[in-house]
Amino acid sequence: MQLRVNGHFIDVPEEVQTVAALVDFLALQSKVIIVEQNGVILQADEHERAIQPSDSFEIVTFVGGG
Amino acid sequence: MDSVRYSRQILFEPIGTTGQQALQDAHILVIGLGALGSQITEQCVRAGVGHLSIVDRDYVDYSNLQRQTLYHEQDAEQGLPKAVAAHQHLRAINQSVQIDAYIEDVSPAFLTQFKQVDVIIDATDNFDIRFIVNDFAYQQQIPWIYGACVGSYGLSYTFLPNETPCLHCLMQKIPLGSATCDTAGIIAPAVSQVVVWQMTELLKILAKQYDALRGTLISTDLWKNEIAEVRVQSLKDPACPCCSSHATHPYLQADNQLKTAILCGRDTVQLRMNQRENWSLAQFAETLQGQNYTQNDYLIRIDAKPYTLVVFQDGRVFVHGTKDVLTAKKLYYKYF
Repeated sequence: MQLRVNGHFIDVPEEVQTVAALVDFLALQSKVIIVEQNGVILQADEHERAIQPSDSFEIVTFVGGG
Repeated sequence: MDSVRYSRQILFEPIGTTGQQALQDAHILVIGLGALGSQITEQCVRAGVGHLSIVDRDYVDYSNLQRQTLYHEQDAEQGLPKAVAAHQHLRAINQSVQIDAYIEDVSPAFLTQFKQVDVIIDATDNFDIRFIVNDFAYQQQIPWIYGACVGSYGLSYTFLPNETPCLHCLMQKIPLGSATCDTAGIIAPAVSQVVVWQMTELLKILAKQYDALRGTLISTDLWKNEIAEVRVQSLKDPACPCCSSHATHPYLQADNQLKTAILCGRDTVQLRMNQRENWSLAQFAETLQGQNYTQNDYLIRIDAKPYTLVVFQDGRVFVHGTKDVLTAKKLYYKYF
């Protein structure tokens, strides 16, 4: 399935069916992140939402350095 | 006001003479004088911000020079506290700016003297301090501008009390084990990108051009050529302990324990001792007779191979050579 993440098109395996699975696939599960799916901000408890081909995501990861 | 000095900025119509006067009248607190703090304080004094308070707990090290643009080799050679070195260099750039420099670790008690500042710039390297700053800023209704970077990645957000969600609304908790300069390194352009966002937002706030504010949480990975930008207003938590009408500002609650922090990129643990009556660096030096140590006016460096302890006048101790808090504490308690 092809998705758009932070402006880039990426292919994800078929088993990636939810936002949480996408977050795992991107190896971001241990990070504090904010996810926007098709222009809608997801609350922290909304990551079980299904994803569809050509969905568009914006994902921002919090980091501490400075 | 020096109209020649600031003429190009005054010619920029959204700032103009009114905006320039507002900059001159402003008091800005910059927390952290590492990579972000180096660049943003320089831009503040060049822009003609009238009063700058700067604070940092660390001293200049050779590994800083690659990206911490204020500092020179001599600062690293002398092991000068960053607040001291930054103060010298910033004054050389613009002597008309009032600069107050503090060699300190930011705590709730420290921040209470800054209730009147116009904006707080976050240039720290850890979330412990950011959550304290967030509580203080929302309690005192002071805008604060978050910025952070690691590797080739950076992000920023402008927090406006009574308007935007706060850091706690966005993050819910202080993350454990996030990537640091220690594990992922850092390139200077990632720093500069974050400073671009922070400084532009600062100028807009000071010039009262609120409609021009970005309004988004923004991030970029310069190496991967990625950018992400999201509107996070819907994440404002009506029950937030830090910014709602029920706020208790939990991160401002004082406790009196030995405080520890792992420093980003330094293989170092910082410990802050409890309040001790009549403690001084000079008296402490007397207890070190026969030990292998050196000192300057600001700190004492104890060689405790394979570790090094650096003791500051304000009671903080760095234990270099470990990231393990327990190891650091054991060593600390050998001397204190």
